[in-house]
Amino acid sequence: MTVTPFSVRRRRYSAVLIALLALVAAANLLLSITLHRTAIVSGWVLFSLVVLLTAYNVRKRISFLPLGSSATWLQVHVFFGLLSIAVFAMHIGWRVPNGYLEIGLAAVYLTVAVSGVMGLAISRIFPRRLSERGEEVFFARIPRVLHRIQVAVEREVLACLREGESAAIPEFYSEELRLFFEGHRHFWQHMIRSRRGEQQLLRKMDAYGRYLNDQEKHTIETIKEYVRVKCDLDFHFSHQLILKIWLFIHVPLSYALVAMAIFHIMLVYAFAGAVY
Amino acid sequence: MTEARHVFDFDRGEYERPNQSWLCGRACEGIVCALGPTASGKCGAVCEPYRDGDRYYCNNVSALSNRCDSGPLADGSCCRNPAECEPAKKAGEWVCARGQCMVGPLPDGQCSQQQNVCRPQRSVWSKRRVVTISTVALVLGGLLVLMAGPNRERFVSPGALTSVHAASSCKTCHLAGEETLSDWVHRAFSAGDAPEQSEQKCLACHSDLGAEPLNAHGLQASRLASITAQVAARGGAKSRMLIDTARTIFGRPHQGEEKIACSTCHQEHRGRGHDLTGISNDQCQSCHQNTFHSLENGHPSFSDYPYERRTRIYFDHTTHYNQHFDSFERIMPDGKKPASCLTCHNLDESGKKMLVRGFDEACSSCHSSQIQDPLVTGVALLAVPRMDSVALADERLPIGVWPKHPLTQDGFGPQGQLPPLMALLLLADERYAQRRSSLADIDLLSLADATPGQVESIVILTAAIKQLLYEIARGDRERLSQRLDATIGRLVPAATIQQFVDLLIEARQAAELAEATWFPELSDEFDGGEAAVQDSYKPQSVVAPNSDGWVGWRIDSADLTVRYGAIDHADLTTKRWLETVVAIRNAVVELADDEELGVKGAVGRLFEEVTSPIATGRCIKCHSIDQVDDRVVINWFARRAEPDNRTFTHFAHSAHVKEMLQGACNTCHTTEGEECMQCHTMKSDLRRYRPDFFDRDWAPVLGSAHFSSDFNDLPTSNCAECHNSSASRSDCLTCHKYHVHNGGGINATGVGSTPPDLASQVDNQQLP
Repeated sequence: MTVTPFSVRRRRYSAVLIALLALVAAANLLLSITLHRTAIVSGWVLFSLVVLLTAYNVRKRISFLPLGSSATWLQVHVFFGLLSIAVFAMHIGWRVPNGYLEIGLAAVYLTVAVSGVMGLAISRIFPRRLSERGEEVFFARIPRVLHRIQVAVEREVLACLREGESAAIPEFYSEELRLFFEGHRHFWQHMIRSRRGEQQLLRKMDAYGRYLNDQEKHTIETIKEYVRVKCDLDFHFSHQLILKIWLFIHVPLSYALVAMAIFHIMLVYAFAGAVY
Repeated sequence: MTEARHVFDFDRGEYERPNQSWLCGRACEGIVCALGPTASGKCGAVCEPYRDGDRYYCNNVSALSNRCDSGPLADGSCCRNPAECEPAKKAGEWVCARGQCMVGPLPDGQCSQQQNVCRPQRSVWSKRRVVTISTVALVLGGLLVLMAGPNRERFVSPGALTSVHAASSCKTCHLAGEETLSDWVHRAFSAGDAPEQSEQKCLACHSDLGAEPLNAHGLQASRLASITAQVAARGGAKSRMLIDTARTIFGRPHQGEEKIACSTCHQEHRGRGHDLTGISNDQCQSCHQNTFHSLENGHPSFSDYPYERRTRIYFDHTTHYNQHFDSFERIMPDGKKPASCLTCHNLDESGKKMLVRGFDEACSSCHSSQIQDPLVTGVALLAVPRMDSVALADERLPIGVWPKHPLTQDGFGPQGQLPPLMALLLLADERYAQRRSSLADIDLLSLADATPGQVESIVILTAAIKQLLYEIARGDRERLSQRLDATIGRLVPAATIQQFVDLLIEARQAAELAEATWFPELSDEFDGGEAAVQDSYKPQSVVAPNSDGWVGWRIDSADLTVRYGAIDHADLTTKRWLETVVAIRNAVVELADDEELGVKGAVGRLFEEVTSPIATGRCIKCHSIDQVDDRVVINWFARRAEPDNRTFTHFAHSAHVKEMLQGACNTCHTTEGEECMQCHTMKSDLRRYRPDFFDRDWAPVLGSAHFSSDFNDLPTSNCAECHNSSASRSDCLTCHKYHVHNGGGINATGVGSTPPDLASQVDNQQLP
């Protein structure tokens, strides 16, 4: 089976998106000219799009049904999402809503839309970053790998004590490294791809190593390797965390948006007596 | 460090369950339980002994919990994972509460045997689901709370109202504003007649939009269809592809008799400063036949604007400006030539409409004398027909005293020459009415060969005339009312009859004088109020006395008539005569021609006489007569300021010629008012009469729809010089209004006696 390249598919979807945008804009203009309530039409179109976009999340839960590939759904989700932004702008008449419910509804929609756009962006950028640095690890496995590294480092540190050597490394570990290995560090530095924290730690270790004997130097070099690995894992954790967390905004608010939209539609039709 | 972070081999890799709700709580320690948590979130390492016969067996298959050697307790509980074990503190140390544990509790008080049991954690997906459900629940709960709160109106309002509606609440405009949340749900999903009811909410306040406020332009469908047909008949319709496309796909906003909701154009909740009446040019044109780009590009020419109808007052600008004003001193020595347009025209209070000043300001210097023109003899009430003098002298006519006419005048006769007013009154006399047709064949000036029957008819005629004179001279209101009741009473309202009688009574003095002058023995002839036909009358010479000039009620000794001449402009008696005659004419117009003893003919002749432009006062020379269907009305006034009467097109003169109107234009213009000529250029053709007002016999034209102005058509380019896309406003609403209605039924003609329905119909003629 021949797989259409992504770039080709993206061009196709982009062309369809542009065509749909032009169609929606033209329909809105023509409806406006003939004094139809464009807000009603664009509102239903927008609601349909929002439901369709939200259905992508449901689609992932019912993967056993032959509803098309997830990749296709994602592309449709992305491009219909962009289309919905244009429809939303037409729906609110290119003005800032001034009713409390409308403001809330618009804010939720914009949050969903912005989070979606940002999610689209990070889902395009972060995977490339992740593949460029260190070994890729499942997000769920990162804590146990970190735990394993911490145990390994502490084993090295404890070995120093058992061998009757000085307590220089354990003390250094206790003062400078324990907190580093116990949790995720340098989150925002990793977001901007900065290695400043890692380099500072390594420089400290280098400086401290000048006063160690050969055995301890070997141990400190081993620990430095663990520091680098840990930093890579933190890098992966922070990026994968963002890749997970944005959905905590996008998905829940999408469902909230559907609920608020239904309430909004109910209000519109309840008060529609003076509208039609 | 070269150790792989994680292994993917099927037999060595960790078993991941990212799509399950619960994950092993100890996964972060790298001690992942192969079983994993249960679907309900319990740790799979918890031992739940099972019973086989009379014994309990350990059921712990977790890799993390080694099967115990001792097995479950006698009661079936696990010996190592006592869920119910809650260590107690005694003497500062934690001890096993169950007393069965060899190890004892941990330093923190936890059961040491529970350490292999983890606390499962939710997966990322499950956490997201929880957050999702919580968010939706929070939103719905928040909405319900807000709906139940006292500020729900503020919350559901989609935006601030415009300043004019700022004081309104939801229920002022919405039926749902008075209801609860459950009613809203029901209303939202049920189809009813709420739209119509809600429109009534709008109209409850906006009650001044006419009888059909939801019709297109507030017009009756038939009226709109008529206008549409007129526009179509003009031809030359233009169209724009954009609007045609919109109509083709989505249809016209309005079809036939469809109602148009207020909110189609007026959209609220857009903020305090929102323009409620704002509508684009394209939207305006979506209903119209002609579609064009702008005023400067494609707007129809002003072929009939502002003269959608004939002016109410006849004034020939062309002839006056090009002829009369050049030589008026000779025939109008007291006349004053107007200095500018503003001599005769002024603005209304709103500064929009240019009106016509009154007669005293605009016309009197030249035309006052014409009203009292002695050449106009006045309307005749009574006339003494001239008889064959030979027959009178031979006493072949037993008609009693009959005055002798001056030889220079033919006088009135029975052959259709009786004054129409007198003819109408005589119709009440049954004997006269029976002889009316035979009298028409008699030549009263040549009775030598008159048959006895003709003589008898003449005797009846003369007796009827004397009777009528007798009644008027006596001011016999009852008998005069009976006359009118007998002729037109069935058709004309009692008030009109009464007004007619009042006018006849006003002629009493003149009638007394006529009696004394021409029939001095008339009282003797009437016994019991009825004329006695005497065998013979001796002719007497009658000397006409001097009348009080040529105006008011008088007798005219030249032709032996009793006449009324208009005293001055706006003479009340003349106006009442005209209005009375018009009312009678409108009442009898539906009669067949030969019906009611020639009443229609007599009324018709009367109408023609009083509405002649050369009748006394010459009222109809200037005051045009409009006709709608078969009814007519005299325009006593020029167009007046009617602030409640909205028309399709409006033009604010003051905004355009402000400096001129303030008299500050003399620095540049030698004659104040020259600015008018920039738009209103006068035609140069001189005509004897205007066919829009008079026919070739100088009879007034009753229709008002056709009008050829003295001025050339206004060029749209004049307006477009300023009102174009790059300068001032040029949208449709700059000059046009949508709602055209006659607010409060203002009488457009300003005539108090005009029937309201006729007034409104006449007024509607203003609409383009």
